[in-house]
Amino acid sequence: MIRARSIVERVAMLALPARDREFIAADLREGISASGAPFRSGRMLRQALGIAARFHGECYRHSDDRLRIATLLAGGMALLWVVPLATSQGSGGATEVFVDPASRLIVKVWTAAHLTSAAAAGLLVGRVTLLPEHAQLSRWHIGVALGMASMAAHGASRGVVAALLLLGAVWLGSQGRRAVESSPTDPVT
Amino acid sequence: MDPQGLGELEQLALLAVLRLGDTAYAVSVREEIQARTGRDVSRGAIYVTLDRMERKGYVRSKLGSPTPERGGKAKRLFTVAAPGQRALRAALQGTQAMLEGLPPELAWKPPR
Repeated sequence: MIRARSIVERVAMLALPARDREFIAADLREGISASGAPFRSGRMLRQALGIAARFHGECYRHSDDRLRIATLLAGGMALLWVVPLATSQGSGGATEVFVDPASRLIVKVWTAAHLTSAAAAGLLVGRVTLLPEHAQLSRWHIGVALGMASMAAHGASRGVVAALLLLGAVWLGSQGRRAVESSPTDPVT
Repeated sequence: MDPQGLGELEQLALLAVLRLGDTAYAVSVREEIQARTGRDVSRGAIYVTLDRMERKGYVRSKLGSPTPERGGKAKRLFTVAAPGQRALRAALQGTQAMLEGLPPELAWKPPR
């Protein structure tokens, strides 16, 4: 029971900004405990999702932020469109040209345009330092929107793989950006 | 200072933090607003508002003591910073100026 409760809490808190998760989880736990009602996973989940919805909505509060988000979305869309065009140029029959398996695999991956474009778009969305701190959650909104666009373009089965790859690339790009942002600046420069 | 001024909920939250003193955290701020104004403000709105005001430098937060009913986790306690006090004063002066000269039936009376 305790384990199930812990898992539900963790899942619910994933939708919240990382720095606020611990305090909000404790506040909700305290509120449920103070009300005297028995713990209900669904209640905790509902409350956490309600709070998360507010944090996600905060990304779009200012017109400047909305413009930046739209720009990043357009950039991601452009990559989803441009990369397949680029990979389709001059790569036809390339797998037959190369004999060794490694080269053939590289060419095969490169020519899987739906995957390369998804990875490129995801990395762009995660990595670009265009958005202010309070709009960081919108990167995931953009990722989901691009994933759905990819699914619409490539069909359900191929599109799901591309969408998952895109979201993974958003995460990877975000990790890289955070690492750069949190690293101390060079004292010489 | 924010050129757009304080929003209504930001004003209420700042006033609640001032009233609560050392015990101001998201839950108590929400309860204070609810008790004094009768408004049922959502939890999410309070968290987002306090978060936004901290980014603007209007409030500061620090960790409180962990308690068993919170699963051993600390509270995030808030205090109003000097820019927050200035912004609140400006907002309240603006409201006061707008109230002046209005018909008596619109004049505000404190609740008893």
